[in-house]
Amino acid sequence: MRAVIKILASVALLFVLVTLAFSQASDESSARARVLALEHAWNQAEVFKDMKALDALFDNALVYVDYDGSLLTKAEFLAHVKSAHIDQVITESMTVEVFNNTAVVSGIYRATEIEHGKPVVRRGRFVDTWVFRGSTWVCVAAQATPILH
Amino acid sequence: MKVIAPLVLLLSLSSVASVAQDDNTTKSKIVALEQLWNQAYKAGDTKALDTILDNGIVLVNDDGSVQTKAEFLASVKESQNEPASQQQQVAPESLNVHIFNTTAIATGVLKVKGIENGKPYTRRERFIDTWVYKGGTWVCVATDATPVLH
Repeated sequence: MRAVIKILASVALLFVLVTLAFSQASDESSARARVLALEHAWNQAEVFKDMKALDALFDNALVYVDYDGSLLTKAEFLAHVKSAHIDQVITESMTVEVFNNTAVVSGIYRATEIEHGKPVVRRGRFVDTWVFRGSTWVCVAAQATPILH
Repeated sequence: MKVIAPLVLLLSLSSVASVAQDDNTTKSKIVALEQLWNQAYKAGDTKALDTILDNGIVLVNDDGSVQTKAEFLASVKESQNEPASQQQQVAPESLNVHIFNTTAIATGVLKVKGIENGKPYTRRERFIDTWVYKGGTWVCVATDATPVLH
């Protein structure tokens, strides 16, 4: 009888662990898909100057480091997007790593801006950190680094 | 009822104060880890670096290249054999930490010196390090550096 109880307990534990593992994997897959979608939404919002959409993507305490090493607050970044003539923002590659309620997105972007009437193309590596808060993901940090090699 | 409301208020205030103290404690911890990183890099202490960097860390160098943790540690070890080639990091000019529950964002400016094509250089870099509280400890899961051009 004791042997039967032990076996049943082991099976129950195994079931719980497998369920948790699948649940976590599924949660991580969901998180990856969601964050990737938000990254694409970000690109589109910049090109179309959808300030409301951009405002919703970023935490109010956002730390933003631009390609020239300048540090921008959320308000400063939004003001830059509003005033800049951004022609195109393409993500050449992107990967997402999920750490529970934190997601780190890294990849390569290519942005075309019109400056003094001429197109300027910038290609760089980016790292964005997203945090899951309440019921949504918000970006809390973003950095761009020009690719020189 | 008259006693309960102030008690609830007191408990709420205590909770807020506790969170603030927790945030301050966390900030101090992250600052200490950043200093440890700086010291370990200078000393070529790959063992110390191994403990504070997550195995899946996203590491972007100031030229836009990426390294895995293993590649980064190997480069630190190699530079100990060739000190002249090592990029030296001077202490951070500035360091700020933002806490988002179990995520900490450390940002600052670092002055680095090195030799490139036989010529010495000094430049400033702005970095963002992302730390996550995992398994009872804080580990860095992402680091990126951008040369300050302005």
